[in-house]
Amino acid sequence: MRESYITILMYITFVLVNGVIMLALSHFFGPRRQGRGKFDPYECGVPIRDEAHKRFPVKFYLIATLFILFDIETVFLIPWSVTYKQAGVTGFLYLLVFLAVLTSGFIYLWRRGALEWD
Amino acid sequence: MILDALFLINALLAVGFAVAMITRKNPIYSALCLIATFFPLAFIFLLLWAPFVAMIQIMVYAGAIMVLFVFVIMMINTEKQELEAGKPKWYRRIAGAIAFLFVIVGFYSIVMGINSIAPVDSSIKEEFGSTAALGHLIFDKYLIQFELVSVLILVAVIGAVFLAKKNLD
Repeated sequence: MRESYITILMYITFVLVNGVIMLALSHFFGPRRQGRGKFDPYECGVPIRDEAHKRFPVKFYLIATLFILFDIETVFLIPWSVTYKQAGVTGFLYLLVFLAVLTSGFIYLWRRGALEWD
Repeated sequence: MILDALFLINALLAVGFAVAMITRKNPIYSALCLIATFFPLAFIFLLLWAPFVAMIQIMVYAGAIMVLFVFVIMMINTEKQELEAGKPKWYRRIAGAIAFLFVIVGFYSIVMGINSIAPVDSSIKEEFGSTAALGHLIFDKYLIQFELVSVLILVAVIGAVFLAKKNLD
């Protein structure tokens, strides 16, 4: 089984080398035109009005936090899905308990309106 | 041999990016360096034959936790002047010197105590650390802990919704 890592190692190496080669080629052979517009965040479009450092509404933060929490829930499903045959019906029931607790949290945040944007 | 080389490369990369992370003035660059630290770390987990932990390292840390970091950086809203105004004071230099001393001592003890840089102990069984072995442990020995994790996440969900929605109402 450990030998199968060689394949993914080759894959990672290939991806890295590929990316480096592409960047290096465009670095060495690409044309360079320095100008005022190069230092703007956007080279074309409306002129910039003010700084990008602004306070964001807490709503974005809430969505990100909830995403991470349910992301971790999904992470715990992976070991079960690999061993579901050995875990059997009892393992499935244990998993259902796990999911039921989290679904109650999901119902809470749904009813509370945490998924509504306003 | 090749494992040693891979471990060394990734360890050096991780340490290098970690140093870069704490020396950047701009917090966004620090966050970028933090992501860059997670990838060699994930690779080291892979070298320890723990593919599940390696995937989690990338999925949860480099993906999700990072989003939170960037949000916090944007929320704290540091102005440009604040970033440039941080000239080192004399006590900061002393603190830095002491911290550096700790690094030297720690590094010395690690180098002296090391027998082999090979991350794999051949006495460990092959399936140890695999996702299947983890699944067996979760649904057998650590079942209570597994169920308690759901309660922990539930508390976090309710806490997040409560804190954020209190401000909105």
